[in-house]
Amino acid sequence: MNADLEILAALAASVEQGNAPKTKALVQQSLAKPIGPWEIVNQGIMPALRIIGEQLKDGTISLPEVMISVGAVKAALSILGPLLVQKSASGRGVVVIGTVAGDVHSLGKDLVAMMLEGSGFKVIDLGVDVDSSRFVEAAITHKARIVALSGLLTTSRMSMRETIQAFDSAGLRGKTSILVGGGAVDRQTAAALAADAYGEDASVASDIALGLVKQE
Amino acid sequence: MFKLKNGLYLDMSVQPIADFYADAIVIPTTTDLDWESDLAAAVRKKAGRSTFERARARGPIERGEALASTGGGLLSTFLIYVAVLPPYHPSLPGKKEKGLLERVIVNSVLRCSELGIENLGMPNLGKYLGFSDRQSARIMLTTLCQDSVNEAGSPREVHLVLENDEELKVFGEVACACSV
Repeated sequence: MNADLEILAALAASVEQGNAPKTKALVQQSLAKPIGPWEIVNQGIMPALRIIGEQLKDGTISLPEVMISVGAVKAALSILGPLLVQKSASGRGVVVIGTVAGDVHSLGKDLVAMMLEGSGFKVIDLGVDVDSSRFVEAAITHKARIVALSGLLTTSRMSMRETIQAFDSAGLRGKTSILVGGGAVDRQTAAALAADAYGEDASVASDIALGLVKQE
Repeated sequence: MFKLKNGLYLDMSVQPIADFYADAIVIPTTTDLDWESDLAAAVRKKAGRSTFERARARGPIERGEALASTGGGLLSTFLIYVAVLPPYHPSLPGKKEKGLLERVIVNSVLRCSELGIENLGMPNLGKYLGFSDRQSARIMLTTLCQDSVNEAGSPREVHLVLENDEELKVFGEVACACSV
């Protein structure tokens, strides 16, 4: 394994373990090699998040342990974030993002928001427990090209459906694409909800969002 | 309760930190996360040996750094270990290092902001570095008052969990000078 891959593997392990100080040190070492910030994210951070996502689905990891690992990701992104934004073209458009009504989980949403910012989108984060009218209002106010709905609970599907219907009623579907993601949905459910796109995890958020704006 | 100049809320009480409820509590340790002390023993008993073993497996950490772990059987959800002593340090007090004390406090708060937690319990960390109660209170509270410490808005509240009434008196006097 070459030196770059070794350090990225160590970084992934450090994120998985939730070791924030070691994660920051490995990010610094990676940048000094130099390894590009996006490569560090894609090969050093996202693999760990996929493992954690699987563990969460399997119930083999507790939520506090997930929070500690996400803390390590935030520690990494405190260094990488400004570099990711610098290296992206700006002005890709506005994304409004939020966790839907009745759900207060924000970890995945926060990661997606950071990834989208890094890709050059302006992100308006509405937070958690956001009802459909706030999504619609924000999309109109900010002229959003994409609205991203996040939810972990299965009951969040109903809130997502309600939000999508609100966009239909407001006549906004032609102007704004709706992306859904989180543990509440899968590809099949997203299609049933008539969402425009589905994101399996934060690692694909940028590609999907870029694909949606290119279609316009 | 005191409100510090940077908007952070500060409270203090005398009780065993192992029994204290907060989103996270801070405990001093060595760089290899393996310090035998009365405080560590009390916390380990409540948290459970496996909680400590899992944290130790992720070490060592640099002096001044802070590492978060789950709280196990503690009332607190998280434990934040701060490395104030070198490994295998057999006795207290450590060397008086103001910069180190400032760093452990800043790094503890940083871990809180990464975890997004609201309240933090912290012991008199300065005494493990040989500072008197008054010196420790001045350094700890001056550091907690800095604007950069409260930038992320997390934690909103720091609770100093002290060991005796003398510590409480001294920290209370110093806190009055730092608060609005």
